[in-house]
Amino acid sequence: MFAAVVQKEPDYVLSHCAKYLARDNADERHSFFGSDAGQARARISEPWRFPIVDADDSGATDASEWNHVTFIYRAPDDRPDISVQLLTPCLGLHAPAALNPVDDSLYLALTLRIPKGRRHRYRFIVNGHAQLDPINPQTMTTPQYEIWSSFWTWTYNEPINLERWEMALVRRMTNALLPFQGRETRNLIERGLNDGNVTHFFRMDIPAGVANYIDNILAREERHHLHSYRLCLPMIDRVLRKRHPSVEPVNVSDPDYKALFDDMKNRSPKLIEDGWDPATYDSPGYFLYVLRRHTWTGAFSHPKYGGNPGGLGWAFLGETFRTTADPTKTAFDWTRAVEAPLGKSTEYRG
Amino acid sequence: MGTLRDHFDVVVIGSGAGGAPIAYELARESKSVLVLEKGPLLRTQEERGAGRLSDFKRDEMFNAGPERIITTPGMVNTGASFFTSHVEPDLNDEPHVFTNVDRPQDGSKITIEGYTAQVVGGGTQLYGAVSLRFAERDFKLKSANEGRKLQGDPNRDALKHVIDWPFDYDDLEPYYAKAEYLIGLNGTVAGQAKRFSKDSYQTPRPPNPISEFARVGMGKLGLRTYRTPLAVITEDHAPSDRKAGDPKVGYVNRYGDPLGYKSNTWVSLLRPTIREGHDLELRPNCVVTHLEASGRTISKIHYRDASGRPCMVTGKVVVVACSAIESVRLLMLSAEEDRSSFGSLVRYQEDGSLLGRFFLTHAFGGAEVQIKGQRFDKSISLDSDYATDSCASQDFLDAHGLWAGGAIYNNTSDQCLPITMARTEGDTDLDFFWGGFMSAQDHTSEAALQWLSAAFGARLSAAFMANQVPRFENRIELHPDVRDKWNRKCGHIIKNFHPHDEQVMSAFAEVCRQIMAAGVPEYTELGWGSVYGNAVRIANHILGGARFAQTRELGVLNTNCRIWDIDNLYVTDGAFMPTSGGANPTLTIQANAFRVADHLKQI
Repeated sequence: MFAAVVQKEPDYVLSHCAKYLARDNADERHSFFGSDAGQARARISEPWRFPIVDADDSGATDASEWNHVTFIYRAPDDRPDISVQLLTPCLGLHAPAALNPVDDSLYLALTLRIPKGRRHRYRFIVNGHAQLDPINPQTMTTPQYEIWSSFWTWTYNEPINLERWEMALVRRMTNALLPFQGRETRNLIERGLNDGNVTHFFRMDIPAGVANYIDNILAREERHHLHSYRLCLPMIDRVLRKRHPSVEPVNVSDPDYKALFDDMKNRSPKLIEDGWDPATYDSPGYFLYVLRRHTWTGAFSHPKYGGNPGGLGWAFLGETFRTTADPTKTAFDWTRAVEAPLGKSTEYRG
Repeated sequence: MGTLRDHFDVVVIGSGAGGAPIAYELARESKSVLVLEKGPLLRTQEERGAGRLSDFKRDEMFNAGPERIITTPGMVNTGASFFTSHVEPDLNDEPHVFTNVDRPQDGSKITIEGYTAQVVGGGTQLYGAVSLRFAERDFKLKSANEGRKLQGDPNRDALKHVIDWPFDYDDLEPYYAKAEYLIGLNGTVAGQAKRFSKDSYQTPRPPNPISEFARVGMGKLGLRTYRTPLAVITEDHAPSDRKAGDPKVGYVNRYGDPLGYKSNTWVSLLRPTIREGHDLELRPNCVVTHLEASGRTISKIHYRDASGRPCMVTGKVVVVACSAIESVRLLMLSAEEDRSSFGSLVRYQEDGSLLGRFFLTHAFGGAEVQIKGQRFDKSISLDSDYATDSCASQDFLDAHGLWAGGAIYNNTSDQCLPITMARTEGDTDLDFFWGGFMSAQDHTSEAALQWLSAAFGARLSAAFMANQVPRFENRIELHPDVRDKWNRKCGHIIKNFHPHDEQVMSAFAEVCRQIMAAGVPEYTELGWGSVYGNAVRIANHILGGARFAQTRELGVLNTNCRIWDIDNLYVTDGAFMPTSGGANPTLTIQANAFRVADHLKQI
């Protein structure tokens, strides 16, 4: 089995549920612009937080390799004694496990210890009937065309929503936006930025994981932007192929990407002439805006979100920028604040 | 789980700066105390147990996470992005509506400004922990301005609604001393203009070297400096039984502290009281919906539990301390539930009623530069290193024709982490996150690197926090149309600054600019100025709306922060303040809460 049942304190569950699930409103103020219309989750806030994927805080020596995943079901007000079980291949499909009442609340919960970097499917069995998780919007379809609820643990790095060609194009575009990994930035450092310190150039050859971060966030926190990516990436691909017919879009140069970004920012007639369809997506500049924000957060947020593998982005900053008073010292000693084994903090455990 | 108790001597609504000191003091007087807190209880590592983890993280996505979209219809920013921390509300669930009182034609917007954290500890979990006392003059601004002529007051009405506090600095001083000792602060007394009866500060850690420019700049201008008092322990803290460690890690402002070094009211006041076995019960994840009155007494407190089910509890004394906007809103919602009883007791919507009036924040702003040719590791920092009181002096006020002064301090931890650097680039308020980065910076890897090269570890700012002129028109109301997730009317903040505020802010911003000019050898000026002209800006200093006064004609509360016509209802968050003080308000809210607690012990 991939997973084991672990115990979580009731206040942990309540503190992760009340803000999002306790409410009276009947209006669908969280419908993600209609994509969840008519479903229970359209009434609640941030359903993507469920099941709760969190650090393994057991204190075990290998805890950094695992997550605790807490499945939640809120019983109806008039049926607090409802029976709910979790059915998932993690535990074996022959062995559904019961979600247990949390104190005297209406929440039922079950926590599993699951390795990081995995994606799994599950269903709830509610009073004997299998159903999808009414909170979590994520689903996956099996080869038998069965739809299951799904979740993934931290640092999962397989495409979830974007296709592989889309991932490749996003990766190429984000490389052209990042303050590292581009040829021009390498040249800039070689020409003297920070005394031409080039000892860390090897990091520029390691993927920064930003495309993976974006795929993750489009599946969960910011799924309201997934549609934009689906609409815009084919148009960008079309524009690049028209401009550079003998070059694959992922091999187009940085200056040519800069020209593309300029055209997107300015919504230039040339962009439209080369294949951008304003009727499909009217504001290429807004898409660039979103892409730039996603690129920055993917490169510099904690690796658990899917980018910045091993703290690559932080290490780039720490190794590029040195203090003036002592150039042997970094101007961004991120490791002292961050938990081991990623960082070196002797106090903070993550 | 057994049956919940439903009667207490004292029920405190809100666990932050205004509520926790009262719970602390009265539980230790053998009273039974219940604290109801809307937000969760997020524990430190030490509380969770050996090897286990805190629910707070050193994680920039906890500061202001993924983008959400405002869906409330009919607002000028419907469809706009917002970014909040993990313990701030979802604006689509609990919107605050803002309208500029002088420009209603601009329409109304939903804003994140004016929220404190919804978590056990309240705003003291996320704040930068700057814990200054108010200046002695701040308590007597009506008296201190008798016969004075102010600059920038074209209608001669800046002082029209100013009242003195019903006590002076000397009356509050012992409670400042008590708060500083019990909560756990580091800083220095030497250099401060205020009188201290006791120095309870722990020794500050060495400043970040970049702050030396600010200290030198202040010194060259003749401003006396001191180490900024911060609610962060640097030594073991006996009153709360906390061990010191290394707090200087850059994850400061807008972060809860997983190790409990930041002296929030949970780790400094509530937790030790519970651990020592006093009768203090905390119910997190419980939102109070309304209060019910019987005669001149609050007879019932209605709330929802973590599942959202209605519950009720009673208390001989009821203390409302859930941040000024939400406290005033709770009083108004209660009045709408029962206009004839509760409504008349708080004079809701009566002619001359002051409930909701004189909403205040601060006059604030500063100056920021990018130091040329020098770089520092700003992540080894707390929120501020050096402060000065010199601009609260009578000489300074007379020279500039100002009604009141303020404090100036340098910001150390700002812009020390990469995502925050980008998200706050050129920001004007919390609603503006990412706006400057997206619109100002070029969009290539080379441009991004050049921006980082110039800015990373090289930015320094000085900020001021000064009194804002109270205006009758600045107010909190219930919005008639916008509802929260409990189908209750939302808070509507209607405000703007007074013209004299511009005079104050211009004078202080110029001092901040001069500090940078005098202290930094070579720099690029990034900007200097204030929030004047940006009426929505609150800085999460949420004050006024139920001010206290010597008479019922002048205030909603009496001198002990009790609603005049209700025998057992007190309001002790920033709502009580008739003037906002020339410093960050948290320590004064805490000191006043200790003062009110002393009063409550006697009844």
